[in-house]
Amino acid sequence: MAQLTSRQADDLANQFLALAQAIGDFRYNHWNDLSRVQHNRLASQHWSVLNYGEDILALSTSLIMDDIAPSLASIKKISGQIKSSLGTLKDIQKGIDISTAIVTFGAAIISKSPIAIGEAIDDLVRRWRTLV
Amino acid sequence: MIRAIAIITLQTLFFGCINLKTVNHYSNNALKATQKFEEIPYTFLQHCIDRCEMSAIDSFKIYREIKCPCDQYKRADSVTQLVYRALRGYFDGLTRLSNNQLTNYQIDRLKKAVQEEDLGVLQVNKEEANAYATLTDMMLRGFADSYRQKKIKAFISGANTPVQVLLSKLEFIESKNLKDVMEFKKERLFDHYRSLLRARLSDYEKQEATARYYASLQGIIILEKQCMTYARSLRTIARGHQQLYENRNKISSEELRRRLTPYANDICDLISEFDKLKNK
Repeated sequence: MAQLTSRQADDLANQFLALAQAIGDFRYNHWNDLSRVQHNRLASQHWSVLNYGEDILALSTSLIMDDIAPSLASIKKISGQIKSSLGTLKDIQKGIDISTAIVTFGAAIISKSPIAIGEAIDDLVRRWRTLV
Repeated sequence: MIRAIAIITLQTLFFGCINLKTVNHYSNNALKATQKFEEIPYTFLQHCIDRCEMSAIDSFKIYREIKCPCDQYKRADSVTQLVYRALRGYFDGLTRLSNNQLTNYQIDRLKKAVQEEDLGVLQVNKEEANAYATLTDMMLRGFADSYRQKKIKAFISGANTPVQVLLSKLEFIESKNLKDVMEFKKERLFDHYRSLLRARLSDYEKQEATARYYASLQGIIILEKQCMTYARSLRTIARGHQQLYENRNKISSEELRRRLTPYANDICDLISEFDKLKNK
């Protein structure tokens, strides 16, 4: 089973569906000819074959993992690089904000206003923290 | 000198905006369409639970707590989620990186700060401040957009092969495996009601059972259509990304916009189609 591709598994599942339908139709078409035991047996077989087909479809999906491992790794790496580029571009805004805070701080010192100096220091520290 | 820099940056800015808008339009639609995955109200695990309950109903079995062996189905869902998340992450990044808002730097506060009267010798008059701010804005955007174009080209180039693989696998899972398990569900439902109608029921009960059968069948058919519409949108996204890849060296051309826009619009139409099915 491990050598089965996901596409082959899918084809196989469809064969199981066709088989199950044939069992179901046989039971229905011979409804009055079958004993209770035969009915139960055919009904159980019908649903068991359906189960097999469904299980194969679930397995087929899991088998895809073998094909996609390198692609997943590549996309993960590229997505990480995109994030890093986004960070670089956002850092420009942070740089502008830091410059603004420094100029404002300079103005506060020149004004000799303790309140303005305190506020400017707080703003500068806060913006600096966003960088580091 | 300042005028020359301004012209160069203006050119960079002008060309940068047009093309990134095209990439952003496609990528944004691709992201929205990919995320429709989360709106498909059916998973492999759900199918396993439904089948387990259906089997219990069919055989009149009552349990205090129904136990369904669904490990294989959980694994199938995990793989599907993994593929979906990788694609969503990529298109999310591409959308954000190609968004022109990203390089709309806010320099108004800096402009205001250098105009403060208390700056003494450092103070810059209003006209000069405006001129420098405009130039700074243009240069920043120009260089940032040029950087983004270069990066986007490199990312599209490296991502195309894995994106094509992942899109085709997710499309296979949705249009084949998940859609096919619903065919099994339909067969189970058909068998259940066909057998039920053989039992001794009144005409009214038979009609009720028949109506329930068709209502359930309709529910499955809508789910199948949702899966197929989603799969079609994945195919369109893949074709659009291929166009993007093939034109990555002509990212400044009008040709890219002409070629890519139909894919972006088709994706948009498929999103609408999906939403209509969801509301049925």
